[in-house]
Amino acid sequence: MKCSRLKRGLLLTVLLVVTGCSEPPAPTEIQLALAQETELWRAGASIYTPESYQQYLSALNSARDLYTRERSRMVWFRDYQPVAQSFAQVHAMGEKMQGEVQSVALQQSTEITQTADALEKRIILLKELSGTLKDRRLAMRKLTQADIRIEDARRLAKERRSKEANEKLEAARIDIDAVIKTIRPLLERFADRQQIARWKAQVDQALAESRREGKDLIIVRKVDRQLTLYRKGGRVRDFNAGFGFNFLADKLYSGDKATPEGEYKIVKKLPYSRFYKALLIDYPNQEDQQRFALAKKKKLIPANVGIGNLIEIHGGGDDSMTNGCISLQDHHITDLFDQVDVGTPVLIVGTIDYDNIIASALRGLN
Amino acid sequence: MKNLLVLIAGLALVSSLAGCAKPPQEEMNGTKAAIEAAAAEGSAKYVAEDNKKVNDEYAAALEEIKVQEAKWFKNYDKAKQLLAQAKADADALKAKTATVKEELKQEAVAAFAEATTAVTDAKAKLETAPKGKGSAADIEAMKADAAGMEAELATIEPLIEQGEFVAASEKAASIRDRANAISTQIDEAAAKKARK
Repeated sequence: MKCSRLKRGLLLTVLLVVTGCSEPPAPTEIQLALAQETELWRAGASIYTPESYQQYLSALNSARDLYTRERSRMVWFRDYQPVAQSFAQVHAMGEKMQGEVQSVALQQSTEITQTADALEKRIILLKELSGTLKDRRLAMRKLTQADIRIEDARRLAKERRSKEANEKLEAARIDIDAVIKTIRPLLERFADRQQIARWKAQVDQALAESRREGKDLIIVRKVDRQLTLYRKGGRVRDFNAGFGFNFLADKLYSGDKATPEGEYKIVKKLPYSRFYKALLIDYPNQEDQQRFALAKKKKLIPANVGIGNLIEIHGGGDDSMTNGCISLQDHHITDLFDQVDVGTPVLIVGTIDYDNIIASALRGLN
Repeated sequence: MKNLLVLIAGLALVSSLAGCAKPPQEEMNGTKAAIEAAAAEGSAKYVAEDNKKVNDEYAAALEEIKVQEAKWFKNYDKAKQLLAQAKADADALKAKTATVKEELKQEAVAAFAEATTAVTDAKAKLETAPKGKGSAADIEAMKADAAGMEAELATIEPLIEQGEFVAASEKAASIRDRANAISTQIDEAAAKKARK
């Protein structure tokens, strides 16, 4: 009897060993979930959806713990069904998150690209304005720095470093805004309809006088970089013109490198000039002197500066930069020089075009 | 009965001996230290994919240890194997990190030198640029550009010091290209003037 029990016991043990020692295969859901976790990591889930990713990792770790617990049971007591279910749930969670990660990544990338594009557009606008107007205050090193920072931001965005990319864009925006803030006061009067109307009225009045008295007239439009010769109110010829380094400003004092605006006349013809040939105008006129005196009284200009003089229309090139004079190409000054006499009125205005390049650029910058 | 007692005693002895097997602490410490050494070198930053692989291997080894710890009959052989593999990979990771890092650093340093030379050349050319008609304003604009590049050039060395080699290289390349564009423009203007 005892022997029989012993035999049965041994038989049972052998059976258990033989049938139970072969490890059941791990559920396929485990490999799927682990591969998915790597994919999520590669996709930048921890960056784009950190909270969801933490929840996902927590669920994955719970599933792994469950698997560990099952593996630590004796072979014949293991049940991988709950493990498979648990990993399947994690996988479903991960699939949902993959869509979320892609969506957030796309959104962040789009936002950065749009901001970078908008900032670049403003830089291009400012550089084009600088190129057209040739005013050195528009060509600022800050713009180049901002441009390089925008490029940095685009690279950082590609590396999924959205926060740093946005910081770079913010720095670029501050630089661009600083440039715009500096130049806006210079530009705004060229977009001011009342100011343009005043310039237009001056031009109309001068032309009417030229027509009425049969005289020559020179009108200079700074924004258009044009000098036009009129005779008896009719246009004779347009010449491209260059101005002072800071031509957007109305000349106020010596050394400000601005070209004056107002009504002048030719007071001297200089056939031999440092700049080929020159027509000297009577800057400063009475109005200039009043403005200068007021600015000095209000301490808006350095105490030791004078009002300046020797403003000429001369040769040397139509887009070279002067200290305030109006420069033409040499053959153009020859033509003009030969056609005008001392006493010819010279009217210098900003613009008579309400939709001039500066007004249009300011709209773009806004 | 006697046989049964012998069998039980034998099983108890085997069980107690197997149950006494201890987790491979020394191997764990060694692997962890190797991974930390690679991390200190910057593996997560410079060879992120390999870094993750090694960390996953280590996690798998720790899981295997947990499995065995909960068993009656503990067998850490597989865990030891996994730890050994993870350690070997961590050592290789550290070496690879150092190599990649050095290569990137050299590239960044070279790119910085190229950019510096390009900006210096452009500035020098701007000083001697033909001041013919129409060029003064352009030269002023280009000088402003070059000054902006020079200011941004100053941010590259700190990037290299921070180990941001890729960022430093790309920024330097961008500045170099911009500076070279200025030099090309000036060269073309000079050639045009010489032809006249």
